[in-house]
This record gives sequence, C-alpha cells and structure tokens, in this order.
Amino acid sequence: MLWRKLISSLILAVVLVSIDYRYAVVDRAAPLVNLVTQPIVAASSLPQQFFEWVYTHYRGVEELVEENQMLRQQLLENIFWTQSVEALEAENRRLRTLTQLDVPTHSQRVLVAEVTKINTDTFRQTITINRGTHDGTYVGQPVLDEHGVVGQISGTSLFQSTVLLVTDVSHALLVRNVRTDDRYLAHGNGQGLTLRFVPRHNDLDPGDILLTSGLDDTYPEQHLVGRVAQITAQPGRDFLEADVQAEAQLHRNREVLLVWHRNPAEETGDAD
Amino acid sequence: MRIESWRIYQALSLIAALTLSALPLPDSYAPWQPQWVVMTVIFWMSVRPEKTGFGMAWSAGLLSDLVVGSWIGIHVLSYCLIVFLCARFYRVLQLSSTLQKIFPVGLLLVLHMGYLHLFSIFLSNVDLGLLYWASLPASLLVWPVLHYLLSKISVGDPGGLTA
Repeated sequence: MLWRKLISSLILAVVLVSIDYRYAVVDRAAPLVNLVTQPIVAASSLPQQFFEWVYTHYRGVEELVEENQMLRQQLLENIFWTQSVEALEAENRRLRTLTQLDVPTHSQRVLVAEVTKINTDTFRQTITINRGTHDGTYVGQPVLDEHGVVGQISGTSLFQSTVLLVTDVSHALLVRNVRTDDRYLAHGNGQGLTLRFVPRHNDLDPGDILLTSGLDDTYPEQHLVGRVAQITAQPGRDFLEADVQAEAQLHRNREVLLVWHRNPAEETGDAD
Repeated sequence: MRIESWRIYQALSLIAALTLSALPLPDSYAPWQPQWVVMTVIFWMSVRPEKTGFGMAWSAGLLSDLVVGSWIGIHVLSYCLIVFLCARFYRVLQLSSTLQKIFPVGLLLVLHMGYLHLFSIFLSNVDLGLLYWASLPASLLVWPVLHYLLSKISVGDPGGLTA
C-alpha cells in the first residue's frame, strides 16, 4: 500500500515537473499562482518592513538633513552629466549626418517598477515586479536598475510580470568591452555571467567593463552589464573563459526600471 | 465531519515553515537558511505517522514549489520520498528522543538537499559550490527548538499522543 502510494506519487510528480519544464505552465498562470503565494510572501516580508519602518521613524533630523544635502549634491552632479550627454548626443548626430550614417532615433521611455517578490530558487533566477500588460509591458522587455542591466521580462500578466535575470543559466546577451570594443556573448551561470569561447590571444583583462552592445534586439545600447572578474585558461582547450560580476543589484534592489526603446511596430516581434 | 484540532495546527505549522523559508535574507546569510518545511514534515511524520502522509507531502510540496518559484513538482518528489521513508521506518523516529532524532533528520536532510542538487545539475547546470550545504548544520542547530515548539502545539489536544 505504502509502496503503491509512493510510486504513483513519484510518477505524477515527474510528469508535473516535465510538463512545467517544457511548457512553463506556472509562469503562464502567474496571476492565479500569485493569488495563492501572495499571503505567504507578504507575511515573510513583514519583518523586513517592520525594521524599515523602525529605521525611518527613528532617524534623527540631522541625519535626514545630511542625507538631503548629499542627495541635492548628487542631483546637481547628475544634471551636469546629463547635460554633457545631451551635448554629446547632438554632436554625435551631427557627425553621423556628416558621414551619412543612419541617425539613431531615440524614443526611450522608462517606468519605475517595484520588486514584489524575489524567487529564492537556486536554479531559476527570476524576480516579480508590479507592472503588467496594463502598463504596456511585453515579453522580452529590458529591465535595468541604477547600476546596470537586470534582465528581461519572461512572462507578463495584467498587473505583474516575471523578470528573468541576466545571471540565469537560460539567459545570454551580447556585450561589448568598453576598452577594446570587442564583442562577447555573456551567458548566465547562476551566480554571475560567463564569457565562453574567448580566443586565447584576445585582449581581455580582469576589471574590464562590459556594456550592452545593442545588437541583440532586446537590450538598449550602452548600458552597464558587469565587470570581468577572473579569466581562466584550461590546458588543452582552445578558448579562455571569463567570469563576469553583474553590476546590477540583482538580489537587493527594491525598484527597477522598465525601458521601452523599440518602435511599437517592432515590439510585436519575438524577443529572443 | 469534524476536523481534529491537530490537523489545523499541522496546516498552520506548515504555512509558518513556508513563510520562514521565504524570508528574504541578505546574500551572505541566504545559504544558511534552515530547511524549515522538511523538518516540519518530518516532525509530523514522527508524531502522527498513521494519520499523515502523502497528502501532507503533496500540499507542502506544491506550495513550496510555488513560493520558491521552481518547476512545479520538484519539491513534491522529495517530500513524498521523505514521507515514505518516515512511514517505513517510523519506529526509528518514534523511539528516539529529540536529540537522537538529529541523526535520522540529518540523513533525510542530506537526501533532500542532495536530490535538489542533482536536479540543479541536470536541469540547469548551476554550480552551487560548497556553501550550498551550509543549510544542513543550520537546520540541525534549530531542530531541537523547532521540535520543542511543535510538540507544545501537538500536545494540546486529547487525540492521543505519541511522542
């Protein structure tokens, strides 16, 4: 009796896993699933919310004034930098028209989304955010934070979306080395990113900064992805492998930025 | 049909365990998160081996899968196996004291985590490193406390106690 129960349970479970692995049933039924998991997730975030509440309510006035001052300084600095970026962009456009290259049309729109859930699973790295098709999100939409690229939307419902992080093993994106302009494919490896198949005599150093290349149709150009941490050469293999530390605060951020950077006509196409 | 009060406690304790395991921790502490749900399942199997079983494994497993965000069925598989082992060798659990139970509990935890590790290798090829096993000592450390609290709960009803 016990054996029979065990075996039927195991078979049923294996069937469930394979169906979900193949067809992503749970991702598609996200609104329904959230209905069940939301109370538990909300309860588990209570301690954190409590500490935050205590922290915000018992901070001294001087500390707040100091922070305010610091933020104002930072804002001024940022305004300065944005101004120079605008000037550079104008110059770039002028130069491009001079050399008769295509002038890039920038029509970026951003929207701040709140992270409602961080999935703690070790083999699928996703977060859930509080924006859905209601706000115009689409599958394959890039998600950034203030430090760098977070990932792309992998499933979306009316008011919620799932974001696949760049460090997930099923994720890859085209990056560009700022120093050398070389391009690489960066695969997620569960903890960071990996550049596989780097030619042996390639000019790549630890500390190199990698940006999105803008060539993969998903991510906008020139956003920080990460820094090269370690380069390993295995004897007998023709290629080097480089570990990359993701720059975005993948497991700590509370807010992320959704970016619309393509024409609406293109957005209907497939994302991968 | 009247629902016995310990069933309600059982459901509540499993939900509490799930909540604890979903607790967001800083990156450096996250691997030390104890396996709350597994230990709660083992506890109820040691106290009510004749009344609980695969129903508990399925509900706890499905909920864990949904909360954690893994493919549905992965935790179910492991919990079913644990419940089976507990039922098959329930005497070992029943006749040992809280501290002695650490050995079978540790064994089951190793099984559970090893199984999840295998899955992560097969399905997603993630290298978790040695830190993945940090959860095991953490679990064994909190086991006596968890056992004490849960037995407080399960003692309260007249349905006959095995402890």
